[in-house]
Amino acid sequence: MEFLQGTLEVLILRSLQAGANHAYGIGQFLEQQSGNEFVVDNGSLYPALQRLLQREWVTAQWKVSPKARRARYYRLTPLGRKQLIEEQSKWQRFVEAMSRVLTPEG
Amino acid sequence: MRQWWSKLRAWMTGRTEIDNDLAEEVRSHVELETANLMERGMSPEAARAAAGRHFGNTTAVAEHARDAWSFAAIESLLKDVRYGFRAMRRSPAFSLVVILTFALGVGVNAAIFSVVNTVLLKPLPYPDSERLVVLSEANAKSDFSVTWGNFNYWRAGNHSFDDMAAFQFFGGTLTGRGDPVTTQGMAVTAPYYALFGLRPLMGRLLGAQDDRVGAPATIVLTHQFWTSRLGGDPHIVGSTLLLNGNPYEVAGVTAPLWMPWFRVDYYVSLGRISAKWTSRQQHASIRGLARLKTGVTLAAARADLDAIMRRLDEVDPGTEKDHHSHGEFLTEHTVGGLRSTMQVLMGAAVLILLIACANVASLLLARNTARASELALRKAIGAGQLRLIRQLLTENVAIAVAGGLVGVLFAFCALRLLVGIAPTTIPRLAETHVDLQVLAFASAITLAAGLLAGLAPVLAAGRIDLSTALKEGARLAGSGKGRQSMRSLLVVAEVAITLVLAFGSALLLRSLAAAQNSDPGFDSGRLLTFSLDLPGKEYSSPEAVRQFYGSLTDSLRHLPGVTAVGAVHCPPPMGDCGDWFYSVPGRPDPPRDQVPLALFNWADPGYFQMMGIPIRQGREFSNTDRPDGRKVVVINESVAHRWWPNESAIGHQLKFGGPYQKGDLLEIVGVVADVRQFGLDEKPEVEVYQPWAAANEMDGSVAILIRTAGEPSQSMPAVRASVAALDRNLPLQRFGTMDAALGSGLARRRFTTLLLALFAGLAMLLAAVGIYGLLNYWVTSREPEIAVRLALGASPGRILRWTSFHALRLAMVGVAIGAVGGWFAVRLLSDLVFGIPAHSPATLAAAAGAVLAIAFLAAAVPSWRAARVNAAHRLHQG
Repeated sequence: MEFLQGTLEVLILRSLQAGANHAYGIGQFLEQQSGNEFVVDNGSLYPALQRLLQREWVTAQWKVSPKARRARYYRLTPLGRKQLIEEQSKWQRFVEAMSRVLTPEG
Repeated sequence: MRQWWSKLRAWMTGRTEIDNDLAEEVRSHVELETANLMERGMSPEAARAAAGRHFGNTTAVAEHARDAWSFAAIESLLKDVRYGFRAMRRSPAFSLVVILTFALGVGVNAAIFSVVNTVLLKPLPYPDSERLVVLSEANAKSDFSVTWGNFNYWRAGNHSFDDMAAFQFFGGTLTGRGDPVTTQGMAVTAPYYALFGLRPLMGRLLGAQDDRVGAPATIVLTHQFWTSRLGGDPHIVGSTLLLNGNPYEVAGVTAPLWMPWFRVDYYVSLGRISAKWTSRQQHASIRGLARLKTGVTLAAARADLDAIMRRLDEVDPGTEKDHHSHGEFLTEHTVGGLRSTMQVLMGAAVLILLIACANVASLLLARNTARASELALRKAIGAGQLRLIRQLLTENVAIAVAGGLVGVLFAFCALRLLVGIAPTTIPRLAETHVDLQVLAFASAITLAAGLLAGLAPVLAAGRIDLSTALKEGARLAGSGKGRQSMRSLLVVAEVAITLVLAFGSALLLRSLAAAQNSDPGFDSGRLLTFSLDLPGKEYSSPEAVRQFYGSLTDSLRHLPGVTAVGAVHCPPPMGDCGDWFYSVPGRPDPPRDQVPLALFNWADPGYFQMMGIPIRQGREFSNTDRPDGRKVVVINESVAHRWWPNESAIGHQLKFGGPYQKGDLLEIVGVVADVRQFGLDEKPEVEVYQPWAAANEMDGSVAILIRTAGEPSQSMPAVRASVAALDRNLPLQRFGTMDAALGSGLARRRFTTLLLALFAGLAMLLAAVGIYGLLNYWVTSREPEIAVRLALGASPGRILRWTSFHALRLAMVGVAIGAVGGWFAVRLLSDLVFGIPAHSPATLAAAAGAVLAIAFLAAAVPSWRAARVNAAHRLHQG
């Protein structure tokens, strides 16, 4: 399933809520959490990460992973955390509205 | 906003870091996945291959991510610019013509703008110069000097000015340092220096302690005088200079600063010499300079001074009654007279730019016609309309920028030339150079010109009809009626503008000719002139002055080659050396504020005859007109026509000073022809001559005129020797031939005329190129038609007439429009036109003829080519 326009960014923010992660980890997280419904295309993931960096919603830092590999870890900034909360409630309302419309009356 | 800022920061610091990070991140991503897959039991090779496959194209992902950091709009603009320059390189001849045309338009405008900017627009280099005001007195008719008395009441009583200074011309002869030199200085009150922001370079400026009666004589030299005349003597401060024989101690030297009015050599204190002005009625050519308080208007300030004048009338009534204050901003006072000239030149420059734009637009149209199929193809494969338009505009602006750069270089050279040939009387012209403001102006007009010229092709491109353009092929695509008519319109506009410029320039050329040939009112041939200023100390009485000039004229008369010698106070074209009120007894007294003024001059016996000034009635002065005899005057025809149009003026009287001022009754004994006292291109003024033997005031300043039998310059050394023999401390001022003096008065007119003629010539050249280009293209696209006509029996002469008529028809329409435009536009020239009416049909017809002739010449080559089309060959080609 493809991502809806603009959803990837909020999903990335959500994936970082538990803690810092690298791009591969974010991809894995999203696929697993969606029950493998979402397929994360790196061609979309990487530009989306750059946009989040530019908006200063996340920061990036090179670190060594628990398995002793160097990886670039993304972490939510306070600004990003605030944004995530706003986006979450927005999407919540959107999903509820969608399902109310789509669910057959009766 | 934050995102934009982040991008900008990344752009500034360089993108290599981002690139490196992304490349490494992608590598680590694949490694992480490989390790993950290996943990699940894959072999290292299989895991690496699977991870790579799963990731996708690593380079594309990195590049894609990197693009998130770029400025998409700007980078695609740069791409367009690169595309534009590539297109330029593909057709170098075309590009060269376009660039040169733009360069001409931008260069002319930048050069003229830098002159206008420096002379007119830049504030004068004084503190708060926009609030500086020149003050004088005035009645209903004109303004004149303020009396010392009134000035001091104004200064003490006003509530409108920060400060106020009085100043007066103070010339003299400097002796004791090499050859005697004539100098021109100012006597000023102490606040004068601060008003102009003058600072001392050495020593000090003059203060209140120097500016009172009884103070020691001190002088402040200007930087210019100190360096040019005194060799920059470092020990000058404290030394003594002899000015008109009086010692002055040098107090200081001012820092260099451009000053209005004239080249000032030094300043002395006006207050020190003010003892002679005991009453409020004594006028002495003093003017005031003052700085308005912030927020006070000039009108309010004048009302303030007028209130002071009314109060003074009550307590000290007299001849100053009904005089009120007059004020003019210093800026207006200094450069106001140049405004119309500058407007005309700037306007002409803008017209040149418009013609250049029209030419370029026409060229671009022709080229884009050739590119129509390329554009149609790009549109067919999906380029958006906007994208195409943007590309075309970007290309045009890019080429305009190239032209603008060359134009600025051109302006740089033109400006040096311009300043070199310009008369030195134009204020601050020497400071003109290509500065930031000029560059900004040049950039603005370059962009505007690029967009303007690019508009026509873009409008045409918007109309590209896909199917016809693709079907017709490159040659004929878009050469249809619409595009051709737009080019015709451009040529019509060019011709019209060219005619406006040609008409204006023809008017100025005729005015210059009229001025050069205008009758000065006397015979200026073989005439030498020079002026002397006798220092008041050695020549203290009028008798001593007359005695000196008597012996001088006698000795000059006896020089070989000299046929006649005359002396006059104020020779033409010196202008106004003193005017005063007068009235005619027996006629109703004019209201107090409408007393007429006349130039008062004095001349020696025989002056009019030796000058060749015709005597219309009565006689000229003779040796019998003595100070103790009857007071007689000779008037010019302007006075005679005003008061005695139908009768002889001889025997009537004039009252010197008018009905309200003290003055003698003067009997008119002669009427002489008008003389152009202010210069060849100025109207004669009302003028009254008194015999020099009986003149009321002799200030020691006299002009000597010498008529020679042969070449006048040959007598110059002998004349110089004669003066030195009588007094070797007298410098000869303005020594030269009368013709040269009259000619130099026309310097500014000559300059303006030259520039406008140059502009008209440029316009004609550009219009010719435009007509040539249009017709050439027209003939090319009509070759098949011409071939058919020829094959059907049309003679080449007929084809020649057909094509040249096509060009001339456009030129005629342009001329008709230009004639109407020119007729209205010359209103702006009315200040500069002399001796002919500005609305001169003959001049307009001549200019129209010249423009049509140029159009005809430009059309000749393409027409001739049309007539030589090889019909058989062309038809075979099909």
